Amino acid sequence: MKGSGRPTGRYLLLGLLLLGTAAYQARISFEIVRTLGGPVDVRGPVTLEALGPHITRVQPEAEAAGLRPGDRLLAVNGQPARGVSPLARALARSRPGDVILSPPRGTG
Amino acid sequence: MTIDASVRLEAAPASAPTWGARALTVVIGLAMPLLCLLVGFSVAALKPRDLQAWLLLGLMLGFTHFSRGFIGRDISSWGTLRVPALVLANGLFTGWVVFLFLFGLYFPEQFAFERRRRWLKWVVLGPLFAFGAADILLDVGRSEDFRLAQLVYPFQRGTAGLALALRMTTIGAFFASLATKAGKASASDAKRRLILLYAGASLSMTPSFALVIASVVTTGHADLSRFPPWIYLPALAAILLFPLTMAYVVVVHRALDVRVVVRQGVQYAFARGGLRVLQLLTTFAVVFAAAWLVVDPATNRPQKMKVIGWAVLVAILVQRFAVRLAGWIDRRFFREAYDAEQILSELAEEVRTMVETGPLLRRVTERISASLHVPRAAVLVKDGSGYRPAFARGYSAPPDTAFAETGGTVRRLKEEGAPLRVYLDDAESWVRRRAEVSDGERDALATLQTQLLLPFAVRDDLLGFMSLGPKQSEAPYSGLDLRMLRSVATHTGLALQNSRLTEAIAREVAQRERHRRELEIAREVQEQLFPQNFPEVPGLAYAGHCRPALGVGGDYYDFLALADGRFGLAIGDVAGKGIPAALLMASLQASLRGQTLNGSQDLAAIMGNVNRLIYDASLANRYATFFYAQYEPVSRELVYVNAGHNAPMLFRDGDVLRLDRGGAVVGMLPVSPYEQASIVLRPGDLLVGYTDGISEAMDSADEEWGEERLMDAVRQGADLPAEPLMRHVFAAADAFVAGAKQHDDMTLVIVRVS
Repeated sequence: MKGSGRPTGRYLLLGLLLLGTAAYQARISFEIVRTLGGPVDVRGPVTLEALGPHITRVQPEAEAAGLRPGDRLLAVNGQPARGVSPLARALARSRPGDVILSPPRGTG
Repeated sequence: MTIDASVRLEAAPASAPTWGARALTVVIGLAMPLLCLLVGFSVAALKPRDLQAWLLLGLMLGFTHFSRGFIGRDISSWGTLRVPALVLANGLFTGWVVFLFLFGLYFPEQFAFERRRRWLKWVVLGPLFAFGAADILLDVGRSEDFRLAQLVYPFQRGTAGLALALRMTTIGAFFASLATKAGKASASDAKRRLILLYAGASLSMTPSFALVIASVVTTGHADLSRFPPWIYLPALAAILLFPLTMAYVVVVHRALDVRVVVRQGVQYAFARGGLRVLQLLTTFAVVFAAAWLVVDPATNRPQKMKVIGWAVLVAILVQRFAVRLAGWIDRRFFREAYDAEQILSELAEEVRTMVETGPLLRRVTERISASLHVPRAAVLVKDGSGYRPAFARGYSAPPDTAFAETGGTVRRLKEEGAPLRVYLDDAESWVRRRAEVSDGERDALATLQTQLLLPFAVRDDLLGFMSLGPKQSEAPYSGLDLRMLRSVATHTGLALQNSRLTEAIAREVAQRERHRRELEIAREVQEQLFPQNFPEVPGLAYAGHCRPALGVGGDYYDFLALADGRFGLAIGDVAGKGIPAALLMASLQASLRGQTLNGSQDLAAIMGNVNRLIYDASLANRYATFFYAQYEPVSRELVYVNAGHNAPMLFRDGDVLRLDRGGAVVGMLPVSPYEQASIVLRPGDLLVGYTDGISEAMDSADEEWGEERLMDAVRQGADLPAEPLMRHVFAAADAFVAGAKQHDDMTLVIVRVS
């Protein structure tokens, strides 16, 4: 075969792509394997609206803590909740029976 | 007002997923992405220069996006890397649609309109990228900051219908492309692959596609979970069919070799790069395992470090034992390639010792045929100004083709000096592009069904070449094939040259042997022309001998018994040497014998007739010097005519008389006057006739012996009888030349009068 030598640049790109996608897929696989055994997770105590911080539904345990639909989630465990991520992370790290400290709640 | 609320978390309701759902999760969530990554990265790693390999990689990565739908907790619950992960997850989905579109556009050959209007595809790609970007922003915004999401939301909502329609249309275009190309494909191979791919893609995606459309039509958005599980689970599971078909078509049906770029064939690339595949697998496994462990929150750091350390060690070990492993893998999994290598390297050794062209070419052709499974092959060797088939196998009729030495094919082979691929159906290939490749040559290549030309050359000399037809498996010739064939070709070229030289030498030897035998016969014939019997002549003792320089010669001497007891004596020298001189000498002998039969005593007339006869019988520049004498024993009178010959010496009482009367050489002029002279011999006279081979015998310093030395030699042996005296004179001449090459015929005649 004539022409240039090894296409180093392309191999590099391929390597980076492999690294990224393999890591992503590994993490996904990890989640999936965990899910296969059935839900060991805690129940999400509240349901948020699609793209905003307002609570649309509350489970009994949230209701017991004084949360109501229409409340606005401001922080989770002291972390300001600008998106769903803080709540999702807090739930992911918890076991049933754990206590999460929600927010100063805004009623507005 | 803000309040603090502490929530005691409850377990999620224990509803274990159904087995069907679990199976689907394993198939689409785990197995398919792994398969896709493996196929995509393998092909791209094996053919990094190939655009289609990268398209395939993109498409395969796109298919991994389905796995996101099977995770229990969304990506936004991940740690620090969640933002890149969200970007990637959305990117994979957009990439899926984009690469389906591009793959349809470029595989296996790009559509003609794409070549003419490159911008056209951006009409589709531009919006797809825009919608993809919006998806990313929305997804990241929802996770990280609602304000970002709300910023994008109006656009996303406003275009949701359009985005869905465009994506569905694009996927539809992919199917349409495959169907169109399958319909148009002329080569049966390409058609078969496209149909396979089309069928696989259809079976894979049509069910989900139909469900999505049904869902959109009934509810306005795409949501498969509203269908009963027994409908949507199989539909989703079917998606796995596409990467499977793709892998099957690429690996087994060598999809990527339809066109030039990918001619070599991925399957063979797999075979050849058996080790590279293994390395890739190990690397992949190592990266995957390491990535898993790194992202697994349940594993602590020292454990992760340990695992990564092991992984690196394994990778290094694989590298170290790569070569040995390569051999083992070749033997174990790619027996055919290994066998071919084995056979061809043995063949390279074997041909070195073969000397005959025919068996050599037969052997080489048959072994290559057998080892690479090439049913049709032909060897063409140089024959005059062209190359013609010398051996062919597998053709119904012996191919009658010829390639001119000045033609494009031969010139290209000489330039290249290496195996040359021939793609007759590819307009970009040299066979079609090069102007000096004539239509005749293309026809010849088509007749031979050539896929590969293998030159047998030694330095710049192209002795011949082999045309290899398609392999039985229809696999293209791989780089490994070419390397092996090249080595065989080099050895065959040398062997061919050897055999040619050997044959030339054998021919030469045979010819020389024939010449030698002819010369031998001529010599025997000529010996018969010299006197066979020596008539008794009262008072005379005589001897004569001729020693030709080249087996036969132009010297002549003769002793004739004539009527009335007379005795004829002749000595002559035809100009020139060898066969031509010998022929004229025969003519001279016949002429003289003919002329003396009637007992004529008119020597001048005899010589005149001989002159005329020789003149008529020879070419213009042919002539002979000739001395003829008749002796009358009673009167002792010697009558002679000397036609330009070295005057014979008559030794008498210490003096030397020269018999030089006569005329010009015979055979030069049609009519030549001769006079005869006579001398009465006395007892004790010694007559010495000779040719210039004697008097002009030369030593290695080119010094002539000369008449003086000849006379001295005769005087030294003056007391000897005729025969010994003659031998003495020859010996004296030989002593003088001292082994130098005899350059002329030597003839000596001695007559002693008693």
